[in-house]
Amino acid sequence: MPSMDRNNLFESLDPDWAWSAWQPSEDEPWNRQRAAHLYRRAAFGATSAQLEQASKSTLSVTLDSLLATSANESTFDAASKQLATSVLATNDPRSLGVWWLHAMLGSSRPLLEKMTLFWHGHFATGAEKVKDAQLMYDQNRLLRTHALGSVAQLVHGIAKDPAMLVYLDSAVNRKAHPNENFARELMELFCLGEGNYSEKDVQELARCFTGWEVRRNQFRFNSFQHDSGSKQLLGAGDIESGEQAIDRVLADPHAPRFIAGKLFRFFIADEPAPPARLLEPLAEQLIADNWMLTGVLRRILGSQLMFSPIARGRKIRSPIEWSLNWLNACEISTNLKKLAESLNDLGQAVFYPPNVKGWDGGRAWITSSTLVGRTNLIGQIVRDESTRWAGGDMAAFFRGQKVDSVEELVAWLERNLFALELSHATRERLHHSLDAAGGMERLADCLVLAGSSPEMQLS
Amino acid sequence: MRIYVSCIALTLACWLVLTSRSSCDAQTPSAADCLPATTMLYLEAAEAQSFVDLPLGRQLLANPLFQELWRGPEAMKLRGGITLAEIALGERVPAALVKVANHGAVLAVDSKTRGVVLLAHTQDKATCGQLLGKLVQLARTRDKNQPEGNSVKETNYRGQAAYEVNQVVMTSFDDWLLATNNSELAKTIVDNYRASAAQGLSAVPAFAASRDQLRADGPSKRLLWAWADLAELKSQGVASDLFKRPDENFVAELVLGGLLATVREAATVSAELTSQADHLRLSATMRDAASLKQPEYEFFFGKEAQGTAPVPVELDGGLFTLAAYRDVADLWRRAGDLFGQQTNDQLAVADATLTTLFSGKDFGEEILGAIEPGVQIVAAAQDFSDQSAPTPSIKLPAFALITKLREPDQMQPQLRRIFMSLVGFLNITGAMNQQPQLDVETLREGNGTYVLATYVPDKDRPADWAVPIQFNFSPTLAIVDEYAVLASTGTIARKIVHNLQAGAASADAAGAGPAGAVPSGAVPSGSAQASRLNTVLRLQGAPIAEALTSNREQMISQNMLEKGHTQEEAAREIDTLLRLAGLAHSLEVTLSVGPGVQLDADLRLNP
Repeated sequence: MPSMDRNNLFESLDPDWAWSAWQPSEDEPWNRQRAAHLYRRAAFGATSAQLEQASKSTLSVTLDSLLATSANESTFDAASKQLATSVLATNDPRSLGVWWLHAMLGSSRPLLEKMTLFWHGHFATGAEKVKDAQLMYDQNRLLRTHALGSVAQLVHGIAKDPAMLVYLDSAVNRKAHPNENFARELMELFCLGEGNYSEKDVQELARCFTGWEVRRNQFRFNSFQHDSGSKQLLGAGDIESGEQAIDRVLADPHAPRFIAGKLFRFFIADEPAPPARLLEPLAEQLIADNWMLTGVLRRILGSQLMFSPIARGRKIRSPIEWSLNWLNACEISTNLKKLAESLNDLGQAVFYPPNVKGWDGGRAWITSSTLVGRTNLIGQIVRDESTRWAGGDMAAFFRGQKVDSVEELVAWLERNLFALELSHATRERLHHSLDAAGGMERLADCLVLAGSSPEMQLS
Repeated sequence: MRIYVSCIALTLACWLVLTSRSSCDAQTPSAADCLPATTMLYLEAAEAQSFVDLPLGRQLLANPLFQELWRGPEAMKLRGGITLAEIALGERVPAALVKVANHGAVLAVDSKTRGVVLLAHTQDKATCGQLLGKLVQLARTRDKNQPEGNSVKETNYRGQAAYEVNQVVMTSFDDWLLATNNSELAKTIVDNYRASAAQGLSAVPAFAASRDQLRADGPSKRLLWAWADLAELKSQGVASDLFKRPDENFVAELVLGGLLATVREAATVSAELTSQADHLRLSATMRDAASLKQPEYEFFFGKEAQGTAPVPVELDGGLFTLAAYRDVADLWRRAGDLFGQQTNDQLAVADATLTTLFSGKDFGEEILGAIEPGVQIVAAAQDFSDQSAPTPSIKLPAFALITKLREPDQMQPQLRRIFMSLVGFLNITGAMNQQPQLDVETLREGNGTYVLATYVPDKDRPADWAVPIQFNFSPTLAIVDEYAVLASTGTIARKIVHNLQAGAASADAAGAGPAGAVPSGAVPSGSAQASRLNTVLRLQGAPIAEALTSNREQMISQNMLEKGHTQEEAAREIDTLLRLAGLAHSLEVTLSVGPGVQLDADLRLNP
């Protein structure tokens, strides 16, 4: 394994080593700790039983399970769909956000939900402008359908998605006045990245999308308003339709690197930005797989880099990851409406990204006020009267987990929730938070303290 | 052991508050004789046996749902507490409590000492002494396990042993058991008892007058009787929100303004809870209601408090009916006296806007002024069985506002025009927000005219999209004779029109009009002949339960999201709630005005 230089963490990495498959060894076995790391990154954490099961299996089998795309609808999926129908009747996107939290928590395919969240942040669309819950839900379905599938199909789908078109003011796009918003964001934020296209490309791409409209909340192609003339895009000629234009954008060599970079930041590390050569193998794989995601995701999640100390604790948990990690680890069921409100205060309300760039993520998640907010949130969850722990109370849950002392509680937290070993200072604080007699009466206080610790903010 | 004693104390306290009788033997002083004249709150419960024998209680205990809940995990702690209490008492709780509160009990609050006292009139002197001894013994047993040691302090007042446990003073005299948080109050009560003369609360004229007004025992059985010195409560700052004028809330003033004004100004209030077969009735009376004659409350009570609610319209499948005397035009005119600056500013804006909407006619004077004071709001369940029409995902009941016009011939055409303008306005705003559009037709059926607006289904709308809430509505204006009905659906409008016509026909046959007459059965039993019904609210349990059941899936969804329950858990909880809702047969709340103001609530449970 290469040495760690925090200033140039990824510069010296050998891409071949980084993306080669991690293999367990005597020194580095596949164990509960590594399974927990995988579930923190590829899911929203896991229960103790799930981690136990994963650790008794292999990385390959665990990845198969996370990446499984089944055509059959699970019982949970059917119930979730029914729940969505009920929520949509209120036409309140905030309630739809609560529904999604419910899905993230209960789904048997957590990576699918996590990738849906990834794409939601990538193709950021805000309900404060779209307003219609049904349109937001339809976009969410589109993201979920392709979350582990084809990026190309997803980009084609999003270009005709009514919620996106309304959000980017492309609901009306006439040939006389091409709307450049969507065209610009397609290249800058969705596919290529800043500096990889010209202003002329934006104008030409906008011409390709003329006639793409939203009528009565549905996409419609208005041939009368489409500029059918030939366009030059990204150095290629003879582009006519919007579909052809999207294919041309995706064929640009910057596109797979851009997507690979976003995946790297989502799964491996918030910062520093990886060098292009480190991303190259992932970009090549995306093209080789015809933009299908499963292969590249398996490669990232099962890589040497993923399980190396370089990637450990290199991400700051987003508010959703932070709270759902808690809920999953402690098998908590609670008032999800209140949770959604708190997540809004912490800066991550689903369906309400701050702008078209989505959430900044990384260090931006942590400010003095959001840190206090996180502490308050865990306090709210553990003290809420609707909160249940594996269907019972907190004390019974920890008894069931064989946690009967402060030392056992700290060890349990480390095994199930923390990415890094607890510092001496945090350990001391947790000890002091429990009563002098060493009893477990102040368990809730201890958990709140653990939630506010620096280690808990890292993934 | 702490739980053990607490459970017993709690159970005893709860039962004692809810049990006992109104008076004791004529030879011995009553609780009211013993309590100080400065008592500001007095609650008297009938003898315990009345509660044990209560048909409603037996009905509830025999109910399968109650039994299921009682056996469930939610009631486990309560069951455990009762078992412990029975072990401590050496007998079943009902039997023990009949001894403890054999002749009833009184809970009172004294304004001078701020003390709270509980007086239980036990079976006899011997039982009383044994009970006191047992309570003290229980406290001492508990103390053995406490690091603080003995917390029971024994004192003596005028030769009477008293015990202080955790700041609660307990003593007994004859067959009375006393518990209070104030020793001075305990001394006053003992002194008054020893004096054997009516010099306490019973000598207070307002209290005595309220006692004199107690209704004669008929078929009903009085369970609780309460009296409060409202003036003293106000001066003590108790329930200050209740005495505050809602001067910025137009709706609260319209619905409750007169009643709240009476509460603010009345010196005392008395209330009683009675039972009869499957009924439970709560009645509150304020005798000195100066607000009745105040001009600013004429909108609520009418001139010289002569306003009478219209006959409530009863519909098949009706959820509720609210019929009330309210002169909205008068309220609008007197808004300057009743509301603060903020509300008056809003009303001025609303007046200008509505005047424009109503074709330049002055909204307060000419539109509201054209409506008779009596108004009704009716709600009924909807039938969504018609497969050809879209069934909304959230199913709301239909509702309607019924008014009587002063000059029907002049008002009817104007109302039709205004209604059509309103539909046009809704269509324009709806189109801007991708909402469904309304189609309008005018129908004539019998001597009723209907302007019916119906939402047009969007055929292009994907089948798996939720059907919007708008499809609960087909806004309708119905005009028949002197009545104008503004309804959320055409179906309820038609039902109301038929009901009004049938009412008019039967009233004609009986020689009286359908409105303004006191509805039969709505006059509280025992009320003075001169009293008039100002407000009647009737709720029907079965249709309400049915309306809730039709939204079962929605409620389950909300439960899942709010409590994080699984679908099975949520379904179980919602189904229990729906079954509980089905226990209530009906609730009728009336406000009658006579020499004073009386509020009655009558609850009837299903067998």
